[in-house]
Amino acid sequence: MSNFRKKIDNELESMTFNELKNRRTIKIRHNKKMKRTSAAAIALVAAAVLTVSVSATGFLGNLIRDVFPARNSAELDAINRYDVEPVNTTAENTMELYDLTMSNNIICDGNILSVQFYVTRNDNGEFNSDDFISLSFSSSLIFPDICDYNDVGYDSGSFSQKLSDDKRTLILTRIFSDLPVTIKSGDELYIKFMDAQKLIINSQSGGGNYQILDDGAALFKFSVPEIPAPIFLEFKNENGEKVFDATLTPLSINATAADPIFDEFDSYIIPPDDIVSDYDAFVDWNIDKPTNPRFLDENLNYTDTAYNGSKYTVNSDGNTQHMMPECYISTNGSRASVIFIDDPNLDDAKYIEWLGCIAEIPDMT
Amino acid sequence: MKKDAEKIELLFNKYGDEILRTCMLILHNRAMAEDAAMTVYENAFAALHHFRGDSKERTWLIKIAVNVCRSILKSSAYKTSMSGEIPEFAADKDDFSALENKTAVSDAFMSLPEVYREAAVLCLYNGFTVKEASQITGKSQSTMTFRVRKAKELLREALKECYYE
Repeated sequence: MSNFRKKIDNELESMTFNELKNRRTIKIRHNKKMKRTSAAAIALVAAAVLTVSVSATGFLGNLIRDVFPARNSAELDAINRYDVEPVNTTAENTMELYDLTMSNNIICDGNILSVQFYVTRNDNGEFNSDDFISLSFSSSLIFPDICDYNDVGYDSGSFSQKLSDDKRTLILTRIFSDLPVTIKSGDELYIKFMDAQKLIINSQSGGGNYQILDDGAALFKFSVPEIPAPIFLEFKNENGEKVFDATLTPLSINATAADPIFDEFDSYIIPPDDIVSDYDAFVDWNIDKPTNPRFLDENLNYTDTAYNGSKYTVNSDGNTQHMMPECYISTNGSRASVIFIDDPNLDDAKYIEWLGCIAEIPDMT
Repeated sequence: MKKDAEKIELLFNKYGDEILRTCMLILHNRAMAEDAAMTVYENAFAALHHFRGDSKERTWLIKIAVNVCRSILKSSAYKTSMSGEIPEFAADKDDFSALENKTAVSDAFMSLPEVYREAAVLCLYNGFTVKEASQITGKSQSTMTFRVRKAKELLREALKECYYE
């Protein structure tokens, strides 16, 4: 065992998993059996159709139901009741401290879905400006025609934030990626918050646009908004040779490098908070070659500031040798240009390279 | 199912502390490190039947932890919390103030730039070889070698008053 290991274990000896486990409830996914089934089932369905719409009906819907027999009848009942019965926002044994409300900020690109919730401290609770809120939660995305997929998109986490007068409402963002089916505009989906009784719920504020299930979960219904078409970009170097091409969607960027220098170029899911305006794309180069991003102006002269509304940020520890560039490419203009200048201070010769990238950006208007 | 649960319990009894502390060193945020460790537990349980034994169980779990931490590092919530817009979770401050001057090494690790921190944690804390760390992170061995070397330089600088002089 290394000296570092001994010292750190000694320093962090109070952090133990057993203590954490005792303090927090760990919810084990109960979809293991479903997962096993789903792989074969997805292959079966994928063989028949390339894209499965969640609103599939008729033969396909029946096929999916046969493959995924409904497991949670209470949940199905709740879904079926949703439109015909008044929403029940009363739950027993709740803390009655917080409202959970789904916002209209729903972003979807077909394969990734981002939804936002507002968690609001209600006025009836004792309020202390020094209070901290720390909530754990888990959520599921539910496809009504594929009921047994109720755990697809399962995600969990917690957040903590100091409550102050101007921050009574916390924004909770959930991103469901790698969806097994392609979502299209107008699809009606559900999101279930498990153990909602422990998290929320103020029944009187009117903020809860949900239905409480028998197991205490909160069920939200929503419609998928319009999905913008993706943007395709092709980046070229100064010689006009393609360096990489990229596909931008409202929530992701997928790039393929033509040059080995970018062989670690990652696909990236863009958190909605980072989306400044329509299709401002966040390109995380995530390369281990420390670079200093520069931009070209309209006349292809180097500039420290981005051209035409683009911007960039650099995570730095204050030493230019340790820069980790994150470059933003704006699609508001007709063209974005980025130049990467590797840090000449590095002793490793292979890092001292220059590369220019120019992309033609389609007119978004 | 029950057998899997027992298996996961055994694994986390053995490696749980290391996973939690690895997450802490990478994320530098106790609340998020705890979330990450819980997510590793859940993900490991869900993926247990996919584990083919190509790697050691410990390596597999640490790889899950690294991936979970990477997701958190990329999240806007993490960036916001680390930028100071949202105050650190109270317990963190209390804990760290209590441990003040007793956490020099872990503080030094957590202060490393993200790009070097992961490599440092894997090689210098977890004790993986460069080759193993390379397999876990998906980075080339030369990349890992470079990052560990830079991390050591930075750690030496940060800890020189404590241990190197």
